[in-house]
Amino acid sequence: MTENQRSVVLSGWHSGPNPSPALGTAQSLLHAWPDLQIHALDYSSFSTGLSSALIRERHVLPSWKDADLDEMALSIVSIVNGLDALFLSGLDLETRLLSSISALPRDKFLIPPTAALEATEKPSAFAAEILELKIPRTELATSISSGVAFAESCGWPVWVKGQHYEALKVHSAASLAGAMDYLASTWASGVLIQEDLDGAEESIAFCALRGEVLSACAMRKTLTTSEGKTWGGRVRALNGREASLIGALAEEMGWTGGAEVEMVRSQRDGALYVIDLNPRFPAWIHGATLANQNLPATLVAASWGIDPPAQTRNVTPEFVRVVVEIPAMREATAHREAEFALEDPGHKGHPSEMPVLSRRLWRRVAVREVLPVLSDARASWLDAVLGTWSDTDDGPERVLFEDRLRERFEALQDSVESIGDAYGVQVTASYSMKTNPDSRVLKAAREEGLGIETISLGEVRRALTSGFPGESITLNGPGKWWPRQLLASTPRLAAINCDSIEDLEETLTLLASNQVSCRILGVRFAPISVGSRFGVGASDARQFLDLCRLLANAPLDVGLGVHFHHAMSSIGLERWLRELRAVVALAASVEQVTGRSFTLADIGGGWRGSSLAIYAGHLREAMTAIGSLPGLREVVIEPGKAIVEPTMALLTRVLRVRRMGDNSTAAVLGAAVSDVPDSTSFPHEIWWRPAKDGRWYSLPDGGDSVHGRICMEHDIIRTSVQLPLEASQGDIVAIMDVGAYDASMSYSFGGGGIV
Amino acid sequence: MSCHDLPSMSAIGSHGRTCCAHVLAWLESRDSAEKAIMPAGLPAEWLQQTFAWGPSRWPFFWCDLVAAETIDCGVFADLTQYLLTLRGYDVARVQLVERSHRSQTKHWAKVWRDAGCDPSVWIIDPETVYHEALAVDIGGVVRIFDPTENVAVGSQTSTAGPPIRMRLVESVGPANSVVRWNGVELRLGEWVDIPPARESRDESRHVAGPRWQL
Repeated sequence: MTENQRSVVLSGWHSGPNPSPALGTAQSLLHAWPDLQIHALDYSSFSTGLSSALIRERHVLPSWKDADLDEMALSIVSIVNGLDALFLSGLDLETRLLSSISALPRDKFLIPPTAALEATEKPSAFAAEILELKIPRTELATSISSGVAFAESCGWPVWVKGQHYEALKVHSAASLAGAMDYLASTWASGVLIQEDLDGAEESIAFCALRGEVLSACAMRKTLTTSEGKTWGGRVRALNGREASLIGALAEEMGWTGGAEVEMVRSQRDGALYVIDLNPRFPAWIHGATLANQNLPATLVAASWGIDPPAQTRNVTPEFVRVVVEIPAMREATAHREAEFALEDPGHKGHPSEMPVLSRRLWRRVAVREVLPVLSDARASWLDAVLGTWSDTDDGPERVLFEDRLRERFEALQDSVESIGDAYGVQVTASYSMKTNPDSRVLKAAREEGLGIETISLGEVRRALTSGFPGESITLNGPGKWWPRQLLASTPRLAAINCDSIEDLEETLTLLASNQVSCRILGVRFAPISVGSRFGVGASDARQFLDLCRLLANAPLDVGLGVHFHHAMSSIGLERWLRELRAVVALAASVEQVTGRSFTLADIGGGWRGSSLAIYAGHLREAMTAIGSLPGLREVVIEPGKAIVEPTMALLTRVLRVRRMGDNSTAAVLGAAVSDVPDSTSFPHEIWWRPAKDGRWYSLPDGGDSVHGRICMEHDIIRTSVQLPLEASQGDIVAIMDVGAYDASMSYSFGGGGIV
Repeated sequence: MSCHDLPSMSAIGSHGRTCCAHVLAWLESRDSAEKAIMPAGLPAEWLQQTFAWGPSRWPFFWCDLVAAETIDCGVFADLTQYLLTLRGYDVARVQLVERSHRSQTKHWAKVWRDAGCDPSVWIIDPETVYHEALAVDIGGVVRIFDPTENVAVGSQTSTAGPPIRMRLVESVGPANSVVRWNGVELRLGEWVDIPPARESRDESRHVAGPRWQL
């Protein structure tokens, strides 16, 4: 049989911004054998590449939605057998389906064995180990809360990835919850959370037959789409070590077919990380052919037992993509357009109907779980408060768990003391008043021996009236002298931290005229690589020199301090520590220029109130980072959220349980976003106490939602939660972890001034 | 313009007073801060984000960096050499003559004139310009690197034209007074013509890619 009588069947023909590989694979095969017969297989005539003139014959199979999966797989086998052709899949899930068929003629289907496919599942740890590369920090998300906690430990943004398809970059807890919900409902498979690595993306494509690598090349992206997909690249041959490792990977997996190892070279440490291992050729594979690395033809030639195609002369190591209009193979019928319009969002960009197949393969069983009964001291506390309610009380009522608050302050003080002992400096904690200025919280902080951190003269006054001496008060913030009329009655303070050059100039003037007095004059340093409106940007030459000039002339009876504060929960510990080290480098240079030492470091990080042990661990790492300041004698930490967030709950009643248009259920509460204003920054745990039961249950993740009572579209307190089957009007709900900004930033809305 | 007429290597001056000493202190601490943020990064990356390429008035002093919104290739080269040397690399200066397009040189000449700078010190003729780069020893391999664009010299991702003449101005560390670049031997102090076939082929970019990496 000559090449012009031979046939190859390719699947995966959609060619959009995120294309499937069949079109590029076909171009490469025809580059080697112009008369080869290309047969196209797909599951929708809307796959745009089906309109290509390269195709000899098109086989559009029925939608996955209605098809019997086994019968569909046998149909594909029948087509390939009937043509006596080779088959290269361009669709990962199709590959998985076909590979699972025991009767598959593997000499014709150039796809990996099932065991190899299982080993490629994200996060591709198996492949990374063999390739001696790293993988990004990754976690299988068991719940939104665990996903958020993991994201906060890595720092935002993170990637939310379907087990087999699609990845979404998210920048907040709310978007993470939405992405998890979308991916779970679209693909019905597990959802992974993965840290985001800045760096250049590289790939290695290879082809192998029964575990033996036939050819391989590397490609570095030179142009990408807004989704990060390749739009231009540069191809090179593998070096000896790379070739050896790829050979080991293919051999270990008994690989047959095309493959792509996707990697990113991290700017952080310069190391290569494996992002994904795709069981097919990449869509850019024809770019490799243009660089004289025709992998599809090499694979097909080996399968036929003939020599690989001759190399071409015109080698171009770089390739780019272009957009070209071609005649459509067939016009879209009104019926088909309507059908597409009615499809779920997962259909967009997936005309080959992979979301449908995914849901067929990994259908999630929607079972109303038996909810766990809580055995938590907070439940008794809530019951005690409920004991004071009448049948007509709907709340909301904010409940402070005072025992828990005291325990957390005590544990914090123990940690602070041991950290100070370990590092040989005095470490003190100043409670951040703005986080929750409840008088009971302030009293507990004072009685446990904490200082207090304030951001206005109003807060200074509040601290004084709460019993804090002036020498325990730190004054921060960009508008700290508000309201000005309180200036005259402000006593000598522990520290004043200036937020800008202008703030420092004004503070120095106030100090010089004896209008204010303090033991430490601090400067808040802006982070280097994270956008922030706060702090002196000492990485800028002008601000650095201005800062040096002002501090060189600061009163000698006032000590100098370095203040660094950025939300660790938004950038992750590792990045937070790097920013702190960068600030210390700049501060050390300020010391060198001014001849003055920074004797105090004041650090804050917006830690969430999950675990004080984690908080203490992070503080120890921070102490190491700031240890290089030679004159350092004191460290002040400013805990707020880390202490008080889990010490309050909001009790309210269910006003209505209603069915939503998407068949989910929503509970309308006697509370609203005005009572839980921080509800969008992290998903709050919801406790439920059915009226007829009297026990507390913690609601798991699910497809339902908890709404507020006010007439605002955005008044949604919690999404992606599973309501009890028996949820009904009059049940009691406790919104947990509302002890921080949910308390201090709440406002009255829609209560007619009565509530 | 013959080789003898080409400018000498650009060098940032110091007033020998605190004005320059304090800027050097800032420069060094800023680079230390950037290294803390991105240990695998290089000074050229943050320098590019801080300064745009454009006219510099010569003589140029360290304290001129404070007000500078643009710096030319000579300032980029001297600054980057200073910081790379602080980080422990062996770095030497390289002078280049590069091809250019008439439309580009016409535009650049206007920009330089508008800034009160003389474009003729580096625009040799409408299709030829003078440029400065660095030779950096990376683990025993010397690479020619353009700090103005943070790419390998000759890279296709560079907006500069291909080099047609090159000169190694200093030894790269104590050992390298001869450097090979794409089959061309650069000897200390000698201008070398780059054969046309090699003008745009920098083998090192196959390894380094479009972004420069050590």
